[in-house]
Amino acid sequence: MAVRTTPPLSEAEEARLMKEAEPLISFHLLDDLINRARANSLWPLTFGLACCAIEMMAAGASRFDLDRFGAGVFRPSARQADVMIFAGTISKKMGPVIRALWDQMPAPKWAIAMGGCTIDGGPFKYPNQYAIYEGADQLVPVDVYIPGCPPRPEALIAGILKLRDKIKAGHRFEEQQDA
Amino acid sequence: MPTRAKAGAVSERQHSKLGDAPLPETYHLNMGPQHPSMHGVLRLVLHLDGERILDVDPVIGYAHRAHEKMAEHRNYLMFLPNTSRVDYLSGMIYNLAYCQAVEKMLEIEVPERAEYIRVICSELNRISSHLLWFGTFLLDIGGITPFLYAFDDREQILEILDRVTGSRLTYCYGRFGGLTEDVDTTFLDQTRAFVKRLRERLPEYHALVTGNVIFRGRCEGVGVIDQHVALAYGVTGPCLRAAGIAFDVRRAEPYGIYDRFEFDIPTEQSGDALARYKVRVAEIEQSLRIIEQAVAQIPDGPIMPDKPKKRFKPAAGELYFAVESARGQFGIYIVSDGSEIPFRIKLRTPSFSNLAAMPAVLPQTTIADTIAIVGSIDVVIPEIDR
Amino acid sequence: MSGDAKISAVLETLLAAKLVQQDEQGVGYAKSGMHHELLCPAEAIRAAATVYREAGFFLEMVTCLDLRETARRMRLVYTFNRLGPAERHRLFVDLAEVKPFEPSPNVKSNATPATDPPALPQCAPSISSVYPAADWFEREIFDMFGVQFSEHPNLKRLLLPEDADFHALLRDFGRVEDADQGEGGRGV
Repeated sequence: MAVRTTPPLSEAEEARLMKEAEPLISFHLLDDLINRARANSLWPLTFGLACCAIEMMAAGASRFDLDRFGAGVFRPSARQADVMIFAGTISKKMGPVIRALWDQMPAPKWAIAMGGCTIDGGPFKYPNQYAIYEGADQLVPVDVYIPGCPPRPEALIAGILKLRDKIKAGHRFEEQQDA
Repeated sequence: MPTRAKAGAVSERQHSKLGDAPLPETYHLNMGPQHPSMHGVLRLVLHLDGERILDVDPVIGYAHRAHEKMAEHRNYLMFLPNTSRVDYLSGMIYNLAYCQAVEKMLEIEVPERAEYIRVICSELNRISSHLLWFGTFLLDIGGITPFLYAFDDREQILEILDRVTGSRLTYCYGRFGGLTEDVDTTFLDQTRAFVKRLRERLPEYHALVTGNVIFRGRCEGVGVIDQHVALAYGVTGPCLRAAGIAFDVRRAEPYGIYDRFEFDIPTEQSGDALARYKVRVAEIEQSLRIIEQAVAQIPDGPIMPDKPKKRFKPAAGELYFAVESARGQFGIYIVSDGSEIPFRIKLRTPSFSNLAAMPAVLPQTTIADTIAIVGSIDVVIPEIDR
Repeated sequence: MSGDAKISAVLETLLAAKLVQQDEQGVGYAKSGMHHELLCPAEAIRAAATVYREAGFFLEMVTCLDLRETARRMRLVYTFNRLGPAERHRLFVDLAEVKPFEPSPNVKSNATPATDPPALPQCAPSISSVYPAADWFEREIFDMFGVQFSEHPNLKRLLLPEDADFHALLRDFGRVEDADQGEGGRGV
């Protein structure tokens, strides 16, 4: 269930590997174009866990209108979604379900941890807490963290814009490259 | 899709056209916990005979966050932020209910002005909850426009409450003895303006939805919770009033200063999804009435007692305190052992009992009706799971 | 309405049938929010519930208190109420402790445990045949406290995952004073 990690490399070793991994032919322009397309039409999974889901809905509704940023097409099926917004507390009972949903999402995929609960357990964190996962990153790799309890819709929009920047810059998670 | 029985005839609608002979196979369909119409993380295991539901097995606990265990580890004040996260749609009502319960245990007098502000904020919160329900319910059964209308109005409430409480959803506005912040004239002006605005908007809602043929077809005669079922399962709130029982904690066991206001308890007789819709929309109007009276009568004065207590140490004993939340009777059962930390806090949440009635309501309906029925009950899952 | 309000008809029936008795420790409505505070032996709870059902009461809540530390027993709390002007009846049903209480080594308890556990029934009869509402309440109590209900149609965990091996609301489970208050520990 834990996020896969690789053994740490020395700096010199990493630099050597990076040099070796450089492609002979680069499709920089094309990659850029594709990333731009991806960044501008993020389809989130319709998936609320608790309080934050209401603010997620508010972000998609009339005042905040997430559609302005191309991220308003909420998909009910994981197989059509690009980004999973963790909106609420992740209970121990829900964990395996979330992992299954994440695995169903086609790569490339991204995750946004919305609210305190998905960062570290938030208001429900206390010693010997038995019911929840203290953070979404215990289940899936997270790209953007949005603090707040719950974060305001503006904060969610800011998070999505952050994710857009990240995608445009071409950052990827290791797991997704071989997915 | 099987042919639908003609809308309106409740008894006849018990799916006579679906045929009575069972098919040789029973299908098991797992709805949720991730399903766009399951309001978060509700899971229903449906046992089907074709499209017809034979039995339903609700599985809950996917949003269990250990509120009650946390209460045993913290002092009375530290549990305060938890309360509005139990039912985040009527967070204000829950938050103030907990304050009122502890005040009753400690025999703290609440200043008049604070009582009025509490009523105004609670009723605003109730309206925002009903508006959200209105939007999502219609979304569930296929209408997107009402969702946008409702959220537009709801944002007005959130703006008003945000200005005084500092949060949009999970309010922590109450303190034992009063409130954190006083309200100013702008708050009262905004509230008056909102009452006026929503009064003008409600006819639009009715024009858009209430008479809509498709909407009525989806709701009329669907998911009847009759008085017998309601009594057996302890169903409260709009679901109960839609079955013709005028039970409202604000009237049956008045708390705070609710006995000073004039308001009606809207009821319907048919107990179906349409009746629940009508009751909730009528309740919005009644809440507006209460707000109007409270805004007109609000006195000047302090919002906290002159000498607020610093330590909260109720005598050993027990207390049950009930309020009317947007979904029904919310009860807090506190047991004190005389220390600063509660011995036990049990939250009797209305959705828990309302959802428990599903096995009595869903059988013999169809999958499409399940969406309309679960939507019309108005459940908040973290409130059920606590 | 206050605690010393007139004895209602349903209470008269219950007292006459010797199903319940008045709780001497009761403090009245003004303090506890309960109009009638009653004690009920476990074997009589179903009969008592039937009386309430016939009188048109609804089952408001069932919960449990873990009193093993001080009184070596589990206590079920039932409240019945009317769908009209409030008339709340609270019933205590005492049961034997589910397992011995384990005092925390890190904290000195000032509770004085009873030495002899009283002879109490191990489990209560389920009232879900009278009030279907009790089905989930009893399952939750089983889930959180490990208390058994006899003749319950479907006594399995309600909120916790089915493979959980603990009962979360027992007082000796997951105590904060036992926790490692190191990294991330916020304490109370």
